[in-house]
Amino acid sequence: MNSYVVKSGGMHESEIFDPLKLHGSLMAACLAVRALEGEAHMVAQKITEKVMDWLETKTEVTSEDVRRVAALNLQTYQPEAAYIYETYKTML
Amino acid sequence: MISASPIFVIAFAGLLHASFQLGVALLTLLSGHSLGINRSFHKLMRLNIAYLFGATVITVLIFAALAYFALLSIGSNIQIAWLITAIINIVIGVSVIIFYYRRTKGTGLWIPDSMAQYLNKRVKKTDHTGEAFTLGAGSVLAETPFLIGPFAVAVLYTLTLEGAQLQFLSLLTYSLIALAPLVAIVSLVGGGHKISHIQKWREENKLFLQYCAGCGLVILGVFVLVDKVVGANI
Repeated sequence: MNSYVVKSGGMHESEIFDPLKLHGSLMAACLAVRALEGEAHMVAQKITEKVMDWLETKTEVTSEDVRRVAALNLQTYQPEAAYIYETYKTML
Repeated sequence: MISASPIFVIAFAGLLHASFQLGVALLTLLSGHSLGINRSFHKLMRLNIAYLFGATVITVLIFAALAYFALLSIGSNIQIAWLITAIINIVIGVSVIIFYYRRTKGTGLWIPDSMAQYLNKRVKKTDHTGEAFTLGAGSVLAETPFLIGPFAVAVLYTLTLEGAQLQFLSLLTYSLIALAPLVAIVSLVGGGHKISHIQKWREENKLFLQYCAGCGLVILGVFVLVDKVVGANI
């Protein structure tokens, strides 16, 4: 079943959850804290799978929800990356 | 003794300039983004140095432009210029204490959300040294409403110095101190430090930096008032 993601602020139309997009942002967070590329890829893959499992029973979630669940799981594998992933939008 | 040490006042003004965080935030973001998309070390450093160079050029230009403008326009109204400078510093100091950082998690600054989002996008699109240079210059310009206080004090004290060499020394002192945090970030990132450590330090010390900058500006304003306005009339 496809889950729809409502963008923050509710200004845009909801879109189908894109695992590649999540994988890319998680990988970027891992690389930003100087994780090795292979490790970053592996961690991003695991977290994306966990988020997809979480989405299994949901039809519509907000992008903030996805971010929160991803950050929570990332905390287990890469706490430094989780910190950057969580605070990236509040750096400015 | 007080009037014999303008270089220390200029250095203090530079220190206050250094405590403002927009430039540091953008550079941290730029470094994080460069590492996040796996740019080479060479490219990361090239962008960071271009950013630093942009901030340096615009800092020197604002300083020189203000000095030129002051030379042309102040003339016999120097007392009024000192008074306005003192008031500006006190007002900005209080504003910094009240609303420089957002009262939320992270290191969100006073800038409007739309502007923060725009800057975030600009950082992501920065791929050439020219863009990084502009971003560095823009960060100083964007923070001018706050930086105008320390800039004005440094410029006016510089004009009290006799001789081009001393005036150049004061410009150098101000710029070196004001840009020291950016140099530190470029060095730390170049030295292999993690962005998360830098960002955590910024977050943990944000209130300290905010109150230091705010109180520092108030102190600087009062000092100018006593040294150049009240003191000159005694």
